Amino acid sequence: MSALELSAVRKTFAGTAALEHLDLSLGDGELVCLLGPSGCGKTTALRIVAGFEVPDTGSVLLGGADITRKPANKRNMGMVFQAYSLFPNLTAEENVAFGLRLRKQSGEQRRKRVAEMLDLVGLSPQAKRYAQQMSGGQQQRVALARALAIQPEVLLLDEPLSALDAKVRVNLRDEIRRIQLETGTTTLFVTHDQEEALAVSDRVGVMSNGRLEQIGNPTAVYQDPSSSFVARFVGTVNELPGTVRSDGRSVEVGGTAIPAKGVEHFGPGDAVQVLVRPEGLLVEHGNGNGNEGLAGTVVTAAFQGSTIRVKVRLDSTDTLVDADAAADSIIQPNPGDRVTVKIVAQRAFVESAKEPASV
Amino acid sequence: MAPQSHDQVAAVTSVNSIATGATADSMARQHPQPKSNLGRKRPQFGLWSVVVVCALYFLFPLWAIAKFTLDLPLEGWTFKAYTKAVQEPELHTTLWLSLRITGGTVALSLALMIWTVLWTTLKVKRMQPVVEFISILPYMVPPIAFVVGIAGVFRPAFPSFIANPYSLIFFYTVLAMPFTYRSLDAGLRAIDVKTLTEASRGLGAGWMTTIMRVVVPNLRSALLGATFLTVAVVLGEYTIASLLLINTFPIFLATYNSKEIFAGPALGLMSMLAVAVLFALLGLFTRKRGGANATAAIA
Amino acid sequence: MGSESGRQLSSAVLATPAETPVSAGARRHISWAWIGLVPFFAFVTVFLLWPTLAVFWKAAHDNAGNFTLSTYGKIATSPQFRQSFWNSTLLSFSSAVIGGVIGLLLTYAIVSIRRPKWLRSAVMSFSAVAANMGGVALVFLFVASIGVTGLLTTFLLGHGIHLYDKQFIYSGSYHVLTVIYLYFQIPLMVIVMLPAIDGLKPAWREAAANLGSSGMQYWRRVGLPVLWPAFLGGIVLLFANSFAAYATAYVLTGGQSNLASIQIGFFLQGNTIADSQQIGYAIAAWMIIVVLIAILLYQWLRSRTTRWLQ
Repeated sequence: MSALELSAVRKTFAGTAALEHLDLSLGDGELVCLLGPSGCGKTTALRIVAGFEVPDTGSVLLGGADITRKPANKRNMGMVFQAYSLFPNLTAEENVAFGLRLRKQSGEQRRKRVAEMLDLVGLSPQAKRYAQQMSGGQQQRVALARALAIQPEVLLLDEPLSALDAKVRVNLRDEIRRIQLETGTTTLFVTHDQEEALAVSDRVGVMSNGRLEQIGNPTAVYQDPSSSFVARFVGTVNELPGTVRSDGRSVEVGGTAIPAKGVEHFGPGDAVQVLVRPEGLLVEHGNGNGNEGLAGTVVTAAFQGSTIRVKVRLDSTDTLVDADAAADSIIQPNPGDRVTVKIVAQRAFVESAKEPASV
Repeated sequence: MAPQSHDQVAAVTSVNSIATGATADSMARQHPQPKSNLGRKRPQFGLWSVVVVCALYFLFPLWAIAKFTLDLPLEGWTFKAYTKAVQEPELHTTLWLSLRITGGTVALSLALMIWTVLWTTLKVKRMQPVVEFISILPYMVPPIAFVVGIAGVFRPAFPSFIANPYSLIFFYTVLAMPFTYRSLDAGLRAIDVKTLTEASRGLGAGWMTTIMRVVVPNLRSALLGATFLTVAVVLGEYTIASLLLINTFPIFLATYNSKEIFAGPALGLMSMLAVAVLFALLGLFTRKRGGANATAAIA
Repeated sequence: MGSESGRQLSSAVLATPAETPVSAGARRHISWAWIGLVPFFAFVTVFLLWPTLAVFWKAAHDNAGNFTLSTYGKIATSPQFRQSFWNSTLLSFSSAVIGGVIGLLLTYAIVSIRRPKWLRSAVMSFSAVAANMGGVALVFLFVASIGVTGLLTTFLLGHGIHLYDKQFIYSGSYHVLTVIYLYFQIPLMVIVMLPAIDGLKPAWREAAANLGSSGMQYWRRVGLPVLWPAFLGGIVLLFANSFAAYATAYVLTGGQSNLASIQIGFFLQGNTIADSQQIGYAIAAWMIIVVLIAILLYQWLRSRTTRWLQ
């Protein structure tokens, strides 16, 4: 029995479906991320779990019990909102104590728990401050402490880092993960930032247009995208037009044969798009001979620290591809250089050429 | 119609609150917060009863005055009261006087405040708090007390000035100061006047040209807002005009009302409608420009 | 306005230009730039400060020109004037509190009610007009409604209720005036409260629910405490508004109502046996003081409001 389960959940607003059909289950202590662009339904799903929306059909089960129609204030879930959720008239301490007061905990018990929580998020010195006196990052930490103080069955995070500065975001997300692991709270995390999702989750669910496209651990979602939407949304991806070869097992791109995953779903002669990530491309100097790679000219080479992002214009298809070259390789590509781009066999993924880009 | 200090107060707070409201409104549209309903229908019955009771209270007198002036006792439904009122000669003289005073007030108000606000924004930024404080002083002086002071100093010193109806222009400009300042200040902030004037001067324009060709055209909305509010207040001001014995339109309205049972209120209703139309026009003009401009306009 | 002018208000009050330390070069630069502000300062001095200060000055000097503060005291002690100030206070207080509460409820209603969508802007537009409507207009409206031949009066008469044993609407009765004043007080409150209620973030309501609170608990612990300064400020503003009002009461009752503002009018019209005009000035001076305190209080409360709601 899972800790939290959404079953066949559907929700429409004014005729448009925010959620078409959602099946999702979270194991005890798991951190699952719902990742997707705005409008994909991830926030709606979260709000349904929280109890702020009621689904048209389907059910929400908490530890096996149906809570679909249970009012929000009876669900015992902790939620951290995107911003501005701290009560402005209460200090950090009083905010954290809010839920405990409602549960009629004794003063002593309450104080102890509040101190514990503020300590957990590293904000004990700020206990007596008000929200306006704290930075965004600090406010979110207090919000987290407040949500966890009540020992919720599920922790819900609604894009908690989106309103923060980049540096704070990275630090805080690691903090959140650490705290989540420490407390072992089942957590549902909603975000549109794929880097964030990959960094903190046990599993990532990529959503689009009210549906869950793929759910799996971060590696699987990144390396094994089940659809082109997922491939495009998570990480960067190159797209090359090609045709399925007569042997039905490889794709011809610009005169070169390339093995790719998913070819078996297409027939010989079909027009397809080959998707491959920058790290799936190798850049070598010299003009390629047709069977080994694609010839092209370097347009730009940007140093990124551990890799060099090379933009190559391919002769055959006149498209630009991004490839990552090792920064410490002896041969450094320069703009204007003639190179050969090779595709690593297992890294290319094929989709129908007619499929519209949905990212 | 007679504005009192309450109009002043109302005008400024309308301006303040509509400004912040409009800002909050446009912000809410840019970052829409999910409308919370906490998963169940909130009981709206209590709220609706408040709205209905208030609607009755506010709309009934309007209906009463309409019926009173349109359904005459001996003649049934007719516009006679209205046609009678419109033909009253004193109406035309006082209305025309009031309009001229209004024009003068708007002109003086805008000229003085545009210059002053520009100067403080661009040249003497540190004086801004002082000027802002002074601009809301009229707020704190009730017109009835104000006119006592006016009579007290001007009657002995410049009796002919005070007897002249156009002296009202100066005092009405004082009354209008809080919202004229506010409106123009917000308008200038919205267009980042410092950058604009620097760009204009950098391209070689003199100060006059810069003001007339760059600043003023971009302030159209704020100017409109300030103008409309000034007009509404001046056309309704009773207290000062009455006690300085100047026969403006609102004064006439009051005396006419006591003389003519039906034509009086009819005229009153017409002038109320005129103000409503004025506000509607203001809303129309400012909404068209949308977004930040609308905020600046009403602000 | 709000926190910005609240802060600026206090800083303007606390710091005079002379106290601002500047370098010699900057001082020269600033004193030249001041020239541009001369028209404004001159205008304000002649047409606002001079008359206003004159009120206080003349109230402190008798006919012979001697300085005396006794007139200020006389107003406070004389039963006639005490009564008028008391009446004004009572009227202002009741119209402010009643108008404030109804205004708050109405504002909350238009913010919460989603359908019909035009409700909110309709109420806002109407409020803008009603709050700025002049005193004479109100007289028209209410005479037509509850005047001797008013619509409601005749309606009630048909049901045996006589509103006119005692001249009702013209009597200057404060109950009647309160009801009439509400016509501009309620809209003013709506205009003032709307940004405050709008400023209540839905996230607070949801966070509270999430933590287990019911609607009532949320209001008690978060909603009302946060709204309190704005609400109080609104009431104070309404009080000042009503206290300073003149035209409606005057036109309606012809001076029969004993309000502070009406008393001042009498003096100016020379309707009283003035042993000195000084008394008139003193009443005016006291009125300015009352309204001044109220407005400053309002500004302060407003700055506290925006602290939490913006």
